[in-house]
Amino acid sequence: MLDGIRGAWIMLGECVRMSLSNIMGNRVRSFLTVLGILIGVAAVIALITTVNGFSGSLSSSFSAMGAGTLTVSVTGSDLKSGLSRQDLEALSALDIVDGVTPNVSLNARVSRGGSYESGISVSGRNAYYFRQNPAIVKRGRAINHTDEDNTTAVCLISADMVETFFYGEDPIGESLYIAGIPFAVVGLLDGEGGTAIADMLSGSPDILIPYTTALKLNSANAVTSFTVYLASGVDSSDATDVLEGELDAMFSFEEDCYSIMNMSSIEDTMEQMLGMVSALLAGIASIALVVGGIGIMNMMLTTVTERTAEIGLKKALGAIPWQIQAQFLIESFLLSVIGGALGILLGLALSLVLSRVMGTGFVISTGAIALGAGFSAAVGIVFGWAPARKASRLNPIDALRAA
Amino acid sequence: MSAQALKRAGASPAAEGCFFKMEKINKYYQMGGERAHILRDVDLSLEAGEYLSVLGPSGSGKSTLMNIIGCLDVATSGRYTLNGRQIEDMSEVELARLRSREIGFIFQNSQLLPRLTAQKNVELPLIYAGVAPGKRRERARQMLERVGLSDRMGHYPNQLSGGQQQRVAIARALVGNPTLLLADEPTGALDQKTGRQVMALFEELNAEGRTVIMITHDMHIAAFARRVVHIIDGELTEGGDTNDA
Repeated sequence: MLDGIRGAWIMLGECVRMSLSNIMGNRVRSFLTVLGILIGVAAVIALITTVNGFSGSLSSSFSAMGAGTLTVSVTGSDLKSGLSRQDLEALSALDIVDGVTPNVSLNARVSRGGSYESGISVSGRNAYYFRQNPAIVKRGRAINHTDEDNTTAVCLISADMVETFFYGEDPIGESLYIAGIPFAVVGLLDGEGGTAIADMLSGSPDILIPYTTALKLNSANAVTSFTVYLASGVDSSDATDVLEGELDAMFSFEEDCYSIMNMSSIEDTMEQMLGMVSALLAGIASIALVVGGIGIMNMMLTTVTERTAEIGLKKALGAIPWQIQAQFLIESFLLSVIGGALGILLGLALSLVLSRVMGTGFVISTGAIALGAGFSAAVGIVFGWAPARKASRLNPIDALRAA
Repeated sequence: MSAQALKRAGASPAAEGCFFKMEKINKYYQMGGERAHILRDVDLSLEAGEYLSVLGPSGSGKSTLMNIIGCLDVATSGRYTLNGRQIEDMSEVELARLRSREIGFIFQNSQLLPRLTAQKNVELPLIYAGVAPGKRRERARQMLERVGLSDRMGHYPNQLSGGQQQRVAIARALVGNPTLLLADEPTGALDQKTGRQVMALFEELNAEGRTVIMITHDMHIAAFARRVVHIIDGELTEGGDTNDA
């Protein structure tokens, strides 16, 4: 028994050696045969690695942007169209809340001298917003509490606006007409704009003004969109519950008056979607693996036919059927695994290039590599089975006669 | 009888005095609706250490006889005993094991694997018998030395002459130390001079006590054997003195 196992082991070792010499002896043919597997595995690896890298950088930018914030959009009820300044202050006073920044948006006609432009996006913010995002003010000053209280006509403008209306001039201290009202330019916005979620979803506004002023321009007295900055260490879903309680009370428990966007739940949803997309793409790519497997099967069937005489000889010399089957199975397995290994290298190289081009992270996914390796090994065995079996069943007499 | 053959025969009590025996061997083939009778009541027995030629024209059934002797095929009816073992009713695997232990094949076109060196080709039967690499190499070297090719061990078949290739094939047939050397037209692909060299090698091997059966259509080649049987239309007849053949 032990001798039998030892003998089988010796035979298998020899099979590996002979298979490698057959594969290397037909280098071009072998390469063409494994091309399908190579491309399939490379595609799967590249897709999974790239999507992983993308979702990694997405979630890191998400958390940079939206960690600890909740965004509320108010549709309002018949009695109450939005939140008043008192409501916002009440929310700010909550333990879980660090501060609240309203977002009062409007599109306005902006003019200076003879030039004008319509449909400029103007957004009203409060002093707290600028405290939270100091980086957005490139030059000049931010909006402060006095501006809020007095609904002053001051504005901060983007680089685009500077180019449009103040080409070659220093805009600070100059005035700009927004919806026909003269505003004093007090500061310049950084090109990258703000980091509020509202900005991410609707694009950075070109002009920021005090939100009280913006409400006046809108002939409104209530805020319908705002971002809540949570106190540090507060869980966003717990905070959502508290906030819902407060808002329900404010809207007299009427239903569907507002919706709260939780950044982390958006992130979860996006990651889920990305995961689904990547699974789908990997599924499509794995079709290439099946096609590659068929290529290997075809090749192995050809090999068996070509080597009929060899099989007959080996059988005459005492090879038993499973030894012949093992030899061909090992050969197709090795072919496929070599293809898979090359595919993994190519896939990683591709995703490295893609990650550089797209500016996303490059993380080698061991899962994807294991998947590629496992898949190609399985393909080699599954598609090598039938040809190997065919070889093992050849009648030695017929096989010898083929010589 | 060679000591080796005696030892083997002695291993099985039933084998006493029964080294090689065929009784009433018949073989039929189904050939497109017709049942061809290839071998008719073939009786043949051999002592260990004999040197036998089976002489017959093509289509006489000699290849079929060789396949049955070589345990590549089994008879439709009749009994065949080789070295004390009954061949009928053996499974494919048992037949393969029997071939690897008892029979050394030598084919017309040496049938060497082109991608393997001479030494590796000779090792081949031992690989399937599960012999360890070190022992295998040693045996192969000995056999190649025996056939006078100790300086060609690393050569590939296409680097060897026809005669050398056939000698590698003979070394391969010898490497498993078989009971029976079975040669099918061993000189068929060789010129006369190399053919004679191969025949000389067979005589030497026989003189060492090895049992040899040679299948051929060439009476000059057959005449090298000490005993000749004729096969015509599937019937075997004793040829008597080789000099008459």
